[in-house]
Amino acid sequence: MKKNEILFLQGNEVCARAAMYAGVSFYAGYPITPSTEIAEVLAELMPAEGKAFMQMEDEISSICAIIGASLTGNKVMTATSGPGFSLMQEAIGYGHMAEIPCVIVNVQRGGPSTGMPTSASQADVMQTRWGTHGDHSVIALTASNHEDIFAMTVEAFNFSELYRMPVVLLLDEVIAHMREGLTIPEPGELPIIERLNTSVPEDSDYHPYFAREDGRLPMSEFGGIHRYNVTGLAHDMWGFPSNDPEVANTLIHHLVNKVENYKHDIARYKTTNMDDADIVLISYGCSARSAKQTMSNLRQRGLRVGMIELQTLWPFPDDIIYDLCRDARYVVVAEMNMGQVLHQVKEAVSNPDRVFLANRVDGALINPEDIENVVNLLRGKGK
Amino acid sequence: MKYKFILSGTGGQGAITAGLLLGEATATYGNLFAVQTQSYGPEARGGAARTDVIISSSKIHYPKVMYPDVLVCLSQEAYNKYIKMATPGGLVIYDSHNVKNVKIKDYKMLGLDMFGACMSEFNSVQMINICMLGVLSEIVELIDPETIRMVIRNRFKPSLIDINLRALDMGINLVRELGEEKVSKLKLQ
Amino acid sequence: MAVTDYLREQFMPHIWCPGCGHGIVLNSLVRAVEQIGLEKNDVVMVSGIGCSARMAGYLDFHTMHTLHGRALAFATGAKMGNPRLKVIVPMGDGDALAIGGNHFIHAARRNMDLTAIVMNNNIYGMTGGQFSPATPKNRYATTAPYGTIDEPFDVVKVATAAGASFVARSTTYHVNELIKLIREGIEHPGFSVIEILDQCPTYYGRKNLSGSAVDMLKHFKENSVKIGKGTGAPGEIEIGVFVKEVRPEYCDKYESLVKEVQGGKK
Repeated sequence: MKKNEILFLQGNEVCARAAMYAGVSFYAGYPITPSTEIAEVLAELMPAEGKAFMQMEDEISSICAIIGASLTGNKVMTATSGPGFSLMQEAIGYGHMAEIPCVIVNVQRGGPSTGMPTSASQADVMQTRWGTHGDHSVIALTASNHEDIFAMTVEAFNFSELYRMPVVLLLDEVIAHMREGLTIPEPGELPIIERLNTSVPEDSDYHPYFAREDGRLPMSEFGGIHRYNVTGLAHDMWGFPSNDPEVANTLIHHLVNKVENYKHDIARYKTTNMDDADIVLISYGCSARSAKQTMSNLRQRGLRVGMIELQTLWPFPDDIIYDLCRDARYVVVAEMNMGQVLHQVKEAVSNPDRVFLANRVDGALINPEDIENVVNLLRGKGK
Repeated sequence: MKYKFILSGTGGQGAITAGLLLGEATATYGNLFAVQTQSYGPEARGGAARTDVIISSSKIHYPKVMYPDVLVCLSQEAYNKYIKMATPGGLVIYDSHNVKNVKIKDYKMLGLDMFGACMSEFNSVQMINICMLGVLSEIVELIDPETIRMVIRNRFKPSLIDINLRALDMGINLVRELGEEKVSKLKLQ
Repeated sequence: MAVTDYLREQFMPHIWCPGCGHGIVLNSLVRAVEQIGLEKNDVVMVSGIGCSARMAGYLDFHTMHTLHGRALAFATGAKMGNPRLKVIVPMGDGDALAIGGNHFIHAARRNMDLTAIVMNNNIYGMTGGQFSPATPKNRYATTAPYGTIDEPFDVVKVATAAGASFVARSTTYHVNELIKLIREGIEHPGFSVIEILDQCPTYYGRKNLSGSAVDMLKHFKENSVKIGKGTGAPGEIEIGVFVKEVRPEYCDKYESLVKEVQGGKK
């Protein structure tokens, strides 16, 4: 690859290459459409760099294996789609409870159940937030183009290390299979956050679950000088199970606060034409491409349309949405589900009655006309 | 400037590969933006297959093609399935050997015997997709045939480079042979 | 090192019921590790969920107490993530064979150097005595008040058929042999399965009128025969090493693959 060369790649391939850039050293996965190409590319790239790639017996073992490998000191990832993501939920909860860094890529497809395996959908937004049992917060990122797939994959690894937790990258069939040009960033161009290892010396008491002043929890890898326990049970700062209500209470609050208190640091979003916008389009992933086209079409006709593209879906950047939509006459959320981000936006804004949905759930990519029709209806110009 | 293409054919004719090469040629070597999408799953296995390619001098948002500037059909099956996608004023290019049953409507039609040309030159139709790219590059000014040559040189096994370069030129010549007057009416500038 | 040095004594007494065989297994395991002379920092113990899974917490290794049935999957990642480590996986019969059955056969197939200890007490103990895939037919459990109609798995046969390169069976009565077998399993360079017939007097014993823990141990003593020495009578327990073959180990194979790829041979 020459410097600054533009490569014409599939979205899944971009994700795989970005994982390599971020330093993934262990991948485990199970084939499932439309995410399979991520595994195929890594199966080729990883052995060549001395990194471990495994194809497991199912998605459950894939997520479990990456958590195990994370504890032995690796940056880890798995990739899957709808049914596989459902199977992974229990272990994702374990990853949150045990605070193990790992990246889960979910290339969304139509559902429920087997649904439409080769068609586009964005209906896993709420599953990503609430898929596991119990209370904890999550981080979920998304992307609408190859430059962003690369950046958000790297960001997913960074957040997983920074906050010591599983991070979900929510892609979709359209951008995952689509090819477009991309210049792979040079090493050093994007910041990489490495695992924070404890500086506690041997024979001193290391607390795997005791946060530093800055909130980070330094780790010690299995096989290293500190032996401790990791469990999915409620546990104390040594990692040992505890039935003490106070310990459990502190732990649950920690699992929520460690994300919610840093909501602004985690929020990634882009705004376009928002200065004078009285109609605001909010979208993400593949739908954001169509929304952008709608905005540009309507701007040409003199309508003051602006757009917010969300790249961080969770924690939901509600106060940012509140501020940006304060002067909007209408807010239209464009997404490929029955209104999963719509409800978050309604909760965030000062006047939920002016938030409307432009959606499509038939497996075909929502198109600019679909969104335009909703805007026209709101303006009293509908057919 | 922005052109939208639907390239279709029957599985094995290489329509999708052609879309990929066209996208790569324009994005990697042509200093343009390009997006390529295709259908996956059962639809992609046998039967008519299609790929959408958009090339543009500015960023491309919506990646699918709803109203193609050019629809290419390499087989009757693909023609029957995708002709409904053709747009008034748009151009339909079809292989005149494979596609016999053609209804003229309010779009421009160009039938070229790419099949026959490939058979007489190579005694094989394997290069029909590259020949088609030659046709496109002669008709669509935004496509620089030199960029396709670069992709062929970089992508293909050394033993296949020459034959594919010849197939490309063959497509270019098929259009030129129509004469300047006819070509000027078809050209997308 | 003294055997007690491997224990996290601050968590004693353990949670297991009086008469439970899991303590005997813990004891044997620690002695096996001590005999081999493993460094505590070189051992990772990964367990699932159930009475057996609590063993990990009592041992002063790197310990991971994971999800029901998934211990081998976590262990696979841990080992592949650092092949230098010794990874030991204690499991219950339901843990290993029911919910974790898929992981069990695939771990055996892969032949990664993991030591799987299946503590088979024929029952789900932690949830209060439901039948497991290792409960013999016509036995009683809270979910089989009229007796089970299910055929049980034979752990040794399943492991052997799935490709485990070391397969052994013993009972909690045969403590000295148990230490030897666990030691052999840990030292074996490949996927090792040691099935240990283990008494659960609280649930299995009570439901099936098997008597006290001592009676159950006596049953193991009286019904066990060395491999090949049995008469084939029903209820006979064959004990010993069934499979011991050195076959290419998964992490080693991956390392060779990496070398070949990097050397341009693939």
